Amino acid sequence: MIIELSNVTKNFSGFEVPAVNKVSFGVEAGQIVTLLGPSGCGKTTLLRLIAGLERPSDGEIVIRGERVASKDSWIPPEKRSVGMVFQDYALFPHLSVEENVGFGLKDKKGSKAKILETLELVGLASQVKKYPAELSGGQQQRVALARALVRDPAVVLLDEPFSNLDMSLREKMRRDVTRIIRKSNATAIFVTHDQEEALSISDKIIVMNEGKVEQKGTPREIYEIPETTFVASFVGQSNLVDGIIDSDGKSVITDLGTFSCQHQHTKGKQPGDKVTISIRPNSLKVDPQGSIEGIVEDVLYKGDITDIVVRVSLDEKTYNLLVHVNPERIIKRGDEVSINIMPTCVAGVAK
Amino acid sequence: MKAESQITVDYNGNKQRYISAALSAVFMGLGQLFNKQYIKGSIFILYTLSLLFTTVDKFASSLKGLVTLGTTPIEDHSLFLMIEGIVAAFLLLVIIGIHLFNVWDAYKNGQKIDLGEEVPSLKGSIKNLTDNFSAYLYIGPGMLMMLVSVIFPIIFTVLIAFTNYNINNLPPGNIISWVGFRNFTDLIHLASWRATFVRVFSWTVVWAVLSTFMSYATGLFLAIVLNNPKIKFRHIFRTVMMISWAIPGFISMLIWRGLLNVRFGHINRMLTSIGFEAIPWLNEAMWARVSALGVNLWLSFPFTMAVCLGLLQSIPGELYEAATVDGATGLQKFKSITLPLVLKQLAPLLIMQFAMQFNNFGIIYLLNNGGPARFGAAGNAGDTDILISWVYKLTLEVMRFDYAAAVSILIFFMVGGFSIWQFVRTKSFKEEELVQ
Repeated sequence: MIIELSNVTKNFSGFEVPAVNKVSFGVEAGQIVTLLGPSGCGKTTLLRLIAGLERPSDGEIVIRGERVASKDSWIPPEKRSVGMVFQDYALFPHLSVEENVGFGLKDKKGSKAKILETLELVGLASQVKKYPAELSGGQQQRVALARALVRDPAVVLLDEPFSNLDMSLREKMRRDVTRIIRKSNATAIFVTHDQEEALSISDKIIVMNEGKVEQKGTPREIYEIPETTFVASFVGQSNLVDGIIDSDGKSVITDLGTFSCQHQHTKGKQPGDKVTISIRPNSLKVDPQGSIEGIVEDVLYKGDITDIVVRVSLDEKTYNLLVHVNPERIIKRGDEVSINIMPTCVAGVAK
Repeated sequence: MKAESQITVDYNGNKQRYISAALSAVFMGLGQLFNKQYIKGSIFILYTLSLLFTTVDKFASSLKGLVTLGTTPIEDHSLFLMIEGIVAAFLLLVIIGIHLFNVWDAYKNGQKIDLGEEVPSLKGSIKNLTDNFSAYLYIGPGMLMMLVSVIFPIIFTVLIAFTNYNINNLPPGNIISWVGFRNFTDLIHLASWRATFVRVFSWTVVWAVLSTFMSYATGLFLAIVLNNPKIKFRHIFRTVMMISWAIPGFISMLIWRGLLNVRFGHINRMLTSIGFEAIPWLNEAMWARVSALGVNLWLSFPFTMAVCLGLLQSIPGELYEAATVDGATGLQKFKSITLPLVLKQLAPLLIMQFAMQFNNFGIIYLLNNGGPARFGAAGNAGDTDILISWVYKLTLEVMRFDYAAAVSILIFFMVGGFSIWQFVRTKSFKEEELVQ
């Protein structure tokens, strides 16, 4: 493990709830890890704790085997071997690209070659003399990345690095930045609130909510086997349905039918226990033979896909189910449709 | 219709516009008559005739007065003749402007005839005029005010600098005459004037540079200190520091004058009561200069502090964090982030401040009246006198209006030249959008 956090807690004076609450996780060398969560969940604070811009109230942080922050030890940011890319890039406006990248290098003689090498890596070798304001958003981003990488840090911390870019550039920069990070064998921790971004770039995602870790795992695990209702609804879209565990201990009986959940989250539950299951909108199909009937409440055309909300009224309850349909299919509000659920794609989640 | 207009073009060629313009140039209104705009042409002709019959001799005498500045003392007052002459010259410019407009109008309408278009009637012409020239009508009063209150006095001063209007030559008893550049050369060639001019000029430069620099150094230092969140009660300190800015400057200057009085001032009383010798704050050249600089600093740093505080708060905190992660110490952060970013934004203000201090008449005059006085100095220039306060003495104390005007022009060129040079040199204007 190149970075290990155990029970890291941060209280800000004036706030009752800790911004970061007993967070523990480890990052392996060369991994790209994403801290994912809604705004105010403590992910940026956690990043600043790792960088050394904040002191933890409790717990400890270990980087490359060295305890950098705990109750009785403190190593300042510049000695932690971390590089940081800020949300607004924080480039020095009065320094050229070259000077920005070389800002933290102490050895001025050897640094020239290193600066060029790093700028080469990010593809800006031709822009060394330019000033930040003369560069595009994507280029500024890459200068910030070069500045973070130039000192060969143990870990690069990136705080919402793509949130200032427009949609089309964001996609490209995501690919570029992850490629550069992988090429330089750096370990990286991203902070983002964009679940799509987290899923596409990470080796490991840590989902946070209200200062706590909700779930950690690979993108596939996070999406397919959400452990909590929060993860199920925050990462991707989800239909949450209450039910109880059947006598076999695996299947879940709901108003919409009985589904077999083979995932571990339902294990340890006794038959008859109440659980919630998550059904992804793409596990629902509009199908004339479908067993569930409802009325289309809303149609949201998104180009590559159409989301429809189907109101299913059963004896006691009404469900509004989100269903992905092929946009070629013309569906209008008020249409009566039948839908089918693919039972294998259902995950049971803890409440 | 189209064929008809084609024929008209062929018939007239391109000549109408040139002929009518030439006619109008020779005598206003003729071109308009040639363009068959009879009413407009008649108005122009009437206007010209009335000018010719009523004002030609007045113009001639006024302009002649401007050139000769009078011939018989008592009867002719040179200054009035000069002012009349300036006004006449301005009116002449207006008349020339109207004449050019008249030629342009004849040309435009001639062109319309050439192209076979219809020439507007009088009603149309008036509508045209109000449509296109109403903007001038609105700014007219403002321009006139500017002319009377700004431009005329400046021209008057500039003209005085080329005359011998001084205590030996006071109208109406004497006739002032034009002397060319003699006032300027006198300031260089006459030994006593040269010595005084050089002394006052050098002190002015030292004064402007030092007071600007001190004000900014102090303001920036205090702003940085007060911007530090670790300082307790910094809002109270900030407010207290602003007080000297809030009190009307001339009152505090007069109070300082009292405080610094060598015999009765509180500062010297305090010094003597604890065993020091009294310091001649306002009575010895060096101390008087120190006092002037000190009091000026006291008056001016709150403004620069306020500006610097604003600038400091506009520097994003992320920059400092980025520098921290990169291992910059506090001093390095100040040197490579705070100072360059603040100075870049301050540059235009520094220039303004310099120009203001260069001409800071108020403090020099009110604190010490330019004193201590110096025996034998040309034009009564005291030891703390700067150019502008010397100009004041030159006019009101020794009545060397000619030299005063010449020095004023020199000040204008120095401050103006310096400002332009600085504005061009500091990139803050070129790269304004880059810094933000």
